[in-house]
Amino acid sequence: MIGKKNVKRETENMIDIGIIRRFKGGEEEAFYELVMKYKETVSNIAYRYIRDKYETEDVVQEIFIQVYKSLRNFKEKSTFFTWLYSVAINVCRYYKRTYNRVESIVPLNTYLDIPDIRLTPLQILENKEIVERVNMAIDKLSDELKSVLILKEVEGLSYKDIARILKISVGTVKSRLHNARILVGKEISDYNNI
Amino acid sequence: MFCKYIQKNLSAYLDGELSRVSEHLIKKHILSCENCRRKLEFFIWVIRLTEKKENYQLSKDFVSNLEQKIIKSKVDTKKQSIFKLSLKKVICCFGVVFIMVGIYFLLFKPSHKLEYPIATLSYQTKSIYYSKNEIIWANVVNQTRRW
Repeated sequence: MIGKKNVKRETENMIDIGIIRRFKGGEEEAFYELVMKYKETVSNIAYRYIRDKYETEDVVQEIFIQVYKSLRNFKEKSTFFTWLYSVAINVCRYYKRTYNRVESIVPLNTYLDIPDIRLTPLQILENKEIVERVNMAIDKLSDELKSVLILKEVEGLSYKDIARILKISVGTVKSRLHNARILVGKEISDYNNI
Repeated sequence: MFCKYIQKNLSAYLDGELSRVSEHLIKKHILSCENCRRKLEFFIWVIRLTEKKENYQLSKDFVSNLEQKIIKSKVDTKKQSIFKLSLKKVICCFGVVFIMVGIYFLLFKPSHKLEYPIATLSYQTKSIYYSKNEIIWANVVNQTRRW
């Protein structure tokens, strides 16, 4: 059974390929159609990775410049969005490695709000601290774990898509995501009996 | 042993990435196992904390800035390609010159006439053509070599 999500993805991919062909045919505007379509997703991934409000925009621009440069070599073997996300992750990794930002200037609680009905008022007051802990915990993860976690949590991609983007097996995605969540959870709470 | 299997797959279970059989097994097990249920709650809690809540907002002039950067990068790559071309041309010129010099030395060997030879050897070569024990044709050449 083909899920609705898959059908949507396939349709989207066919539209993307049409746009890419127009770009390859010399229509520059087609590239900006792709930018408009994917800029939000790419910026969310980059922001989760870089954790710096001011640097994220530059990184997103760098991602799209890389896409522009190599789009003519895109061979349509994979879906465009998996290709785009892999470019995004690679640029973010390169950026982190090169500039190695230690602390983010703007705390993540500007976008990560945690409304949890199970929390008591006292716990709600502690939310800010938890958000900071979450940020720190994600930052502490290795590149491999972080990439998997971000692709899953930001875009809600399937394990299969994440595997394609990162060029690893589905089993590896499963174990990395499991480990990433345990590490983040341990870091946030005193849940040491996992 | 079974708890270990369940706990390893809890994350994938919450993401809906398991087969129906595995899902059924986990559901059934969680109802009866307090420890695994606690771990499932832990994963739910972590997922709720880490999942995206809000979109990052790019500036309004993001696309125009990107356009400018792309134009700039195009100019840069053109400059680079011009440099690469000129380098290629220089290498090609050197290659052509080298080949021409090689051909010159191969075809037009400089004569080595020695004005003061150390030794001189004079000899005669004969080529004779016989047919039925009769000499039909003969060639005698006198030669001299100087070192």
